[in-house]
Amino acid sequence: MTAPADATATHRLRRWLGGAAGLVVLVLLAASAIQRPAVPLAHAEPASPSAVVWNYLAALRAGDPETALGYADSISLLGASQDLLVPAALSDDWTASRVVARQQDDQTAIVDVTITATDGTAQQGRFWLAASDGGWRILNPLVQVNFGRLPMGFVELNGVTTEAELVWLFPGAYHAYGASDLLRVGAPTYVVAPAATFDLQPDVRYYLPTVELTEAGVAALHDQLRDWIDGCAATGEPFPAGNCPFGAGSAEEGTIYVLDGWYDANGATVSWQVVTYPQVRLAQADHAFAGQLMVPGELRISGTARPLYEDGPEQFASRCTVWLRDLSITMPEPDRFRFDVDLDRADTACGSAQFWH
Amino acid sequence: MSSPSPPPGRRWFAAPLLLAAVLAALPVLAAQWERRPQPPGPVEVVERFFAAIADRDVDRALSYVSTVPYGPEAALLHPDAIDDGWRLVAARPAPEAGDSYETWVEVTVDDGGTQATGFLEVTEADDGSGGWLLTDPLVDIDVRSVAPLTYLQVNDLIVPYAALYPAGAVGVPVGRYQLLPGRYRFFHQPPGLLTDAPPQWLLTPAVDRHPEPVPVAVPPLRIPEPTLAAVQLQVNALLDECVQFRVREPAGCPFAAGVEVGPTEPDTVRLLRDIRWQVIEYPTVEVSDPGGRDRELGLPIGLADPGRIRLTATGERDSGELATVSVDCHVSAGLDPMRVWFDQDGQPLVQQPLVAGVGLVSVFPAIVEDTCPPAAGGDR
Repeated sequence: MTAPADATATHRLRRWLGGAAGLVVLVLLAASAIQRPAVPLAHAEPASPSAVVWNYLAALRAGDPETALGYADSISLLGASQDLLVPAALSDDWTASRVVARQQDDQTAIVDVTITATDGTAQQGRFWLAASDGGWRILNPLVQVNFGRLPMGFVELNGVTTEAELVWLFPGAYHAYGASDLLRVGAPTYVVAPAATFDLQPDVRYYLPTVELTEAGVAALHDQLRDWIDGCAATGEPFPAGNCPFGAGSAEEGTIYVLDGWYDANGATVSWQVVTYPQVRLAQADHAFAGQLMVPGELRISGTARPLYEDGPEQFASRCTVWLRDLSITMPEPDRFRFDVDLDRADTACGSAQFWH
Repeated sequence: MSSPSPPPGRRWFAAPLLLAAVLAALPVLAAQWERRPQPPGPVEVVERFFAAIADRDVDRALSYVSTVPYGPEAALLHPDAIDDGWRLVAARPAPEAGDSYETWVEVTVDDGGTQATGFLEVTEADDGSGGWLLTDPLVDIDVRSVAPLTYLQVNDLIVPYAALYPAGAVGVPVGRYQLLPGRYRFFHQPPGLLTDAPPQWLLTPAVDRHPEPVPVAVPPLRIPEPTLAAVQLQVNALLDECVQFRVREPAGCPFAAGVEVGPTEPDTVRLLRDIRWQVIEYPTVEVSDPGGRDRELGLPIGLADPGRIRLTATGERDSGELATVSVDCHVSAGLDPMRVWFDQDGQPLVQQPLVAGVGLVSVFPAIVEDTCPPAAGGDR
């Protein structure tokens, strides 16, 4: 049985030689692989930091904040309103470009992105990412924005309104105060780019563009100014109570001052008649508009009262001026103005000029 | 039926063959290992960084930098801000270069007339790749104020401030910007304006290994006649708006009346009502650059002729008698004058009299002192 044994040995030898040759080929292939760049296996490797950012922004453009936040690490939302973290406040009127990974190691990565609105308004921002078991996660997915220094007591972005001053926003582009036909803001397109401080605390941004009233806004302002004056005049009080910009003397002393004399306010009957309404121009100030008086208002006061130091009531009448000193105007609601004046100086509307200055 | 087993004596083939295969592959393996692309060393990284700048490929250049700014601070890291009249002529390890993971490269750039030699720090990347990154090759500039301009101008790049801070600059550190190494001119040709000063040049990197920010300032400006004419028109328009006011101190306007007008006692008249203002003669404006801090709110607008603004009103004499008063007032160019800025198109932007504020409010309208000299009052 020698022949079969030799044949088996030869067969075995060929197998060994074949195996050794295969081994050499494998070793050579491995060696060549060293110099060849590794081809990423798309399905096997976790998404890169840039890809996570792309996916996050794509979800926001699609109006899907829930999916977007799946790419983010959990963050504390305390301290600012979440009212605008809703699909209705998102838009797709923007694109992301220059998505560039700046730094990356095993645990952290930085990705810069430029967000450009359709009108060309652009801002560059920066995402910080951290590696987790589920892949890369964005550490600063939201931006805190302070609207509290505007004259408006509300925020309106992409048609969604909140009364909060400090709000969380998703990155993207927003049309600010576009729903109001009374206001014209200097930055109607507000691009929110990601930001954070070096220690990843929220880097609070301010939205503080110029704010003006439109023609309709000026008309609405003066309509409500007239209502304010009318309401105060309708009280029939010599010193209209509340936030009224005129009075006929000193409520504290109970004395009516008019151009022709001084009267006891106690037991007086008074009637106010508006001759002309004041006209104002607005200048933006901190937290409010400063009302600049262009044309003073004119009132006529008439009534019956006892002259000081004399007996018996008598009729009196006088012209009065509405000066609106230190007028401050705010908009607590989208279509409502609030007026405040220096009330300490409001009551001298009808007296001699020596009391005015 | 089981396979026949090889004779045990033949098994000596196996191990030597395997060994021979590995030994045969080793030289090839070693050669391939040698040919494996090695990460570029410090000098080569610096050369690649400068090559990317020469190609105006900002992001490629920044890929060699470990700490990259973003947002407004990075606004000048832009292809249009890169001048092409210079080149890298040498990059070599610096004397006392550092250690195995942190070193310095001496760099010389040349713009055809001037050479600048400086040092760039290069650090081994901490991603385990063995690569090197430039630590801080960017040049800090400190632009304390662009006044009276509304934009930054660096080489061919003009960046309006409004584009940097479209929603307001509150809370944003303004003034520090970063540049790639290279040659720069700042505010060298402000549109619509002239300057006699030579442009401020900067050729970097700097010799100092930890340089301070380079102060950059708007040069002294001259206002040519067409631009001055545009300023005059805007001042006239401002006055046309101001005379719509019917109060003695029109807010934000360069004229005002005091409490009393009139020549002398007892003929002074205390202003009461029916105030009207009218432009009789526009003032003649002149604008020059005072330099220094006095232009930080814009260039002050001077007056070659203060013009005439007529005030008429009903007033009250001390006796209580009513009187009409008419007096010609002038436009003020006093402590809080009107001011003018210039945009990137060279257009002037005249502002009402303003004063610098404190705290959160940066500026607010000034209150102009009485600009109505004594004049005759008349009986009603």
